[in-house]
Amino acid sequence: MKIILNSKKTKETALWLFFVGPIFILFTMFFFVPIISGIVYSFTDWDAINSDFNFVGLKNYIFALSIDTDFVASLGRTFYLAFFNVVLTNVLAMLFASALVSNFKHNNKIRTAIFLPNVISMVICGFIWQVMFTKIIGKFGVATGLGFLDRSWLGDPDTVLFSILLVSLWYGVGYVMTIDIAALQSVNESLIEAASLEGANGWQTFWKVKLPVILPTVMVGVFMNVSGSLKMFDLVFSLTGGGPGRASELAMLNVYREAYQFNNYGLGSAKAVILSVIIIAITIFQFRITAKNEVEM
Amino acid sequence: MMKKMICTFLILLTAGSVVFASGQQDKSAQTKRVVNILYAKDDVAEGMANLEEAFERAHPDIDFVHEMLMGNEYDTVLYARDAAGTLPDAFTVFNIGEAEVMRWAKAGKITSVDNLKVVKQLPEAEKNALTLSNGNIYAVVNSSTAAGIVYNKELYKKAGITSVPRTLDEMTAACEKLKAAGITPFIAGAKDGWTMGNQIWKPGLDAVFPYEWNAKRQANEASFHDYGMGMFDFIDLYIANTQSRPLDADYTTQMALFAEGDGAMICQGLWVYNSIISMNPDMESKMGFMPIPFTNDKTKNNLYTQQELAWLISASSDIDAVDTFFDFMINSPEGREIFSRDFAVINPYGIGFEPNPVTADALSYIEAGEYMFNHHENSFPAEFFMVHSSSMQEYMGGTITKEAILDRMDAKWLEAMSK
Repeated sequence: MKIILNSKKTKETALWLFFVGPIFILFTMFFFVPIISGIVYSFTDWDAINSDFNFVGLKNYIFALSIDTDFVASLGRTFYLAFFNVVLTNVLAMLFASALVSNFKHNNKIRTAIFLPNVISMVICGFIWQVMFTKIIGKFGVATGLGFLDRSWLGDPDTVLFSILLVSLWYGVGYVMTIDIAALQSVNESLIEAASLEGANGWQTFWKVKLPVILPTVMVGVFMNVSGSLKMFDLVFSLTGGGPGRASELAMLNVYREAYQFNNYGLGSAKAVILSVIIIAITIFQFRITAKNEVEM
Repeated sequence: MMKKMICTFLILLTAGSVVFASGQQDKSAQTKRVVNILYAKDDVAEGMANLEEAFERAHPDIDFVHEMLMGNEYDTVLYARDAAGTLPDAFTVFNIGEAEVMRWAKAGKITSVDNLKVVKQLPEAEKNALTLSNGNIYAVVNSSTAAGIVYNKELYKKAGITSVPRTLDEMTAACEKLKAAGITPFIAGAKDGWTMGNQIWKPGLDAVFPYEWNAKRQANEASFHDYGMGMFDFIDLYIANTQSRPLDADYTTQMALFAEGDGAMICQGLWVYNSIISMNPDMESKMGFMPIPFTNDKTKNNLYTQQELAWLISASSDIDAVDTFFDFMINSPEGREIFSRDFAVINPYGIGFEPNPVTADALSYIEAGEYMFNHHENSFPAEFFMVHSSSMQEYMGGTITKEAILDRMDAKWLEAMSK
């Protein structure tokens, strides 16, 4: 009996190793090891070339948060952009979803048009909009009499973040809208009918009935959006390069430059850890809020 | 049973591939020496291919492996190979100054090249410029390039400008004449900050700041305020005379607008010639080249030159094989012919070549002794190229003053030193 059990256990272990083992090894190699080594390097003065480095304690963290004004400013810009990006993406996505959830002619075509930017690489998106902002929008403004469009969208520090936000919305709204449409379609019709019989108008039905039901699903979109906004890199890199000056340098771009252009890998790692801690803290906060709402449901 | 057989077959296949692959590598390593190079200069790629053929014919015992990468991925690949322990035997770097090269030297990753034949034959002045603070030379330099103003001779003529402006006042007058003729004097590519940080600020530093200022700055006994204001006379002139919305135009747009004749001048280097010709072949006979006139003292407005194709040699390389390769490239009749024809670069070895009109103008300044080596920026902290570029963009956008830029330079210097 004992032998049979052992053999069963061995089989189960072998099966576990067969299915989980490869991905576990890959995940360890390309996720856990880099994270741990990144944290270790953040306490050193490593320059990526010299195999010798010194442990410098909290020096990199103190420098990043109290001396490096560019990094602190880039964090401020990141939060600013992330706030508007998350709010506007989700509000617009919900508006589009509500409008497109019912079946009508050309419904699918409009959904596809809104979702389409999401299939393009973010870098390509940046280059496309670079041409739009510098060569097309201005001329369009002149031709149509909309003079306010004829300005330097990417070269003016006052408008550059707005331009990035615009492209980010163009890119991201479709994806969240798709999640929201799926959520709205899952709302039980009897609930809506009951609300209607109680005399609720459209807004009340949405606010008091539909939204509470779909909130857990909506929050999935918000999670992804918050994390994506705080980590935004490729769009800024290709659209503005962080300029003019450093007016659109977000935190991830600052980290990239510190490590890969200025060769301060230790300091760059410390900045990356700071950003990660912020994102993790916000995500945990979001999870708690969502979990609370789900319980209340 | 079937599953077992398939699993066994896959395991054997994988193991066999590994053994086969490692066996192949061992075999070639045993029979031949290798010179493996990595570089970031696309216009010599054809020359390298021709060199490979000629060199391996002349030295059948040495394999010459060359790889060219451009853009941001060059550094990424270089560092990745270093981390993997496969640093190329020779690799190019963009800056051969103390700050960049000593990082590699202190890490023991590169070897000094004082004893290489091609380095020994360099002119003394060139050797002195390449010698670092520890008394060693680490870079094998194949060529130099120059940054200045590329101008459109036809538009100059149209505006009635008969001679190349060599002082700030003459350049101011030239801009006025160009504008009076309805021609935009300068085309900027300010969206890419380096087109001003590298091509205006860096030459300006060497034109305006004395050579000895650098040592004082390193010792924290000098400030950017000492001479910095002197650079802004030309910078202000430049900003006042560019096309509209210069911050919307990147490097490619700058090239395209100049190639189309939308402006008379660009602050760039010799490397733009081929790009402009490819956009508009008619520009071939129209382009000329001059130093940037930062001041009204013509003797200070020399042509800014910098080492271009500069190689660091890995400490783990077969240094004799590397020496043989560079000696073949520079001193053998076949190598010299390829270098002259396919590289066609300004070089310190006296190898003649057929220069294009822009390079010919640069050579005329060099031959007249009206040139300067890049000096100051070479020893600056690595992040200063970013400080220069972003500050120039902000200044052009009107969001920072001259004084604030110079204050920032001093502050950033101290900040970089405290990292």
